[in-house]
Amino acid sequence: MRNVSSLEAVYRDYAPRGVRFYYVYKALAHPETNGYVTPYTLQERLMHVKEAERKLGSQIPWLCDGIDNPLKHALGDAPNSEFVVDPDGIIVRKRQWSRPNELRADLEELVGPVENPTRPEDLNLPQLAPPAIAPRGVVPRITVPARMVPLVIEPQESREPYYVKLRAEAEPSLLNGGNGKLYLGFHCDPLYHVHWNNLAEPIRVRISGPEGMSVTPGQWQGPQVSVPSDIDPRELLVEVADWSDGALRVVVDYFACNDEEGWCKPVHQEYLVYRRSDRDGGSVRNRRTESPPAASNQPPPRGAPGAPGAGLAGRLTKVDLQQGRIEVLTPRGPRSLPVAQNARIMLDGQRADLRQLQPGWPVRLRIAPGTEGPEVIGIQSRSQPNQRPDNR
Amino acid sequence: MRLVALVICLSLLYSSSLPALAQMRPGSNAPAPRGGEFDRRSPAVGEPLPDITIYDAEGRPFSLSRLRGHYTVLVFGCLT
Repeated sequence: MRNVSSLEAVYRDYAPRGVRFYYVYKALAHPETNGYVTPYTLQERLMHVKEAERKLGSQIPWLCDGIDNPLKHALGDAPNSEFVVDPDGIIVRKRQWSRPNELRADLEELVGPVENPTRPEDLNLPQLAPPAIAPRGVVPRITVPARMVPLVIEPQESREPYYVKLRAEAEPSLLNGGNGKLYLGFHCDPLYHVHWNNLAEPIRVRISGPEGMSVTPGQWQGPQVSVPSDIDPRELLVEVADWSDGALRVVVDYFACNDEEGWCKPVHQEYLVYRRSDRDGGSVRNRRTESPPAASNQPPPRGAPGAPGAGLAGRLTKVDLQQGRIEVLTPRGPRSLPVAQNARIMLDGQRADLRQLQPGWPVRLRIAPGTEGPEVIGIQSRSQPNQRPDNR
Repeated sequence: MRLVALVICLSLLYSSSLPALAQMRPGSNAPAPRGGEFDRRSPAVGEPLPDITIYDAEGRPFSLSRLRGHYTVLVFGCLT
């Protein structure tokens, strides 16, 4: 969530004028950020809502989309969009990204200006940390292939809540052709305040598929860990061949502990994993990925948007640090693109930061497909002393 | 009522801008889905908010038709 303080300031000014504000909680945009993992049920998503209320400290009330995300889908599937609806139920403004300053201007026009607008810096909203349950950073994360796609999973009925949650991702060759690597990651859900019990047997995983399909390994055991507890994910890559139809079954046994409630117990759970992209699966940021595979004999057309490593040249027109996006004027028109967290940015031949780039400077971009569409994975720019930074 | 009509007319004009402009204006319909952008099913400015039932923070059903009668701001978000 970005712009929380700025939106809160608009709320404080316009709620007394009769405007109603709601956050709508929807599927996670970037699972694993701060340890949060995708909820499986409406009840778990409501736990996220409570956590968001606690963590953000906003007075704006929350609504919660259904677990199948009907409202997100109906309104266009953008992760942080914003709508203004008039008293007759008609959409009068919409934005792909929430922009409180523009929203304030809208409300000034629709409802009227306020005297002495609230400033975000006056609100002092807390930025609370996620729950600290056990050490993190004990078990090294694995490196996954580039451009993994989240898969639809179906947790099976279980006596226990899913204290540990599976995330399954496929490389494009597996998704499209049935052959390739499958990522299985088992993540402690911080909202259950659980950690791994490393004094007991490590997690055990059994994977099986329909007849004719090959899965290697078919069984896996997590690492022995020297510290008694931690909350790092347990991850593996599985080589899958000839996955045509049907679901893959994943059976998991692990020991979980909750120190606040004073229990440790064995848990047995099962999942079905489908060879189907999960449109609400979001994308994981800041993890180690292998270099994209070498281009085929037929390289993509120069500058083709979305092609692996495709290039694009133009002039920077905007750097949006809050949204992590840039806007570039290219010979074929303006483009607005998200910048990958680990994008390689070079300015005058030196490694640089997005904050150092200024509108007006020439840029060459490398673009690759991300889970949510093309994203910038590399920027080369040259500083132009006469250009002033503006339009941020 | 006149104000509402004016807002709707302006909004319709706004949403029918040129495609190139559509890429630049955050409030318009994008021509195709991209990362973080609306897909084609997103209702345009001037169209009604779909009447879908979601939930309040306590898990009680909440029909969006309840929003009528006031200007309402809806902002999508999550913990990540």
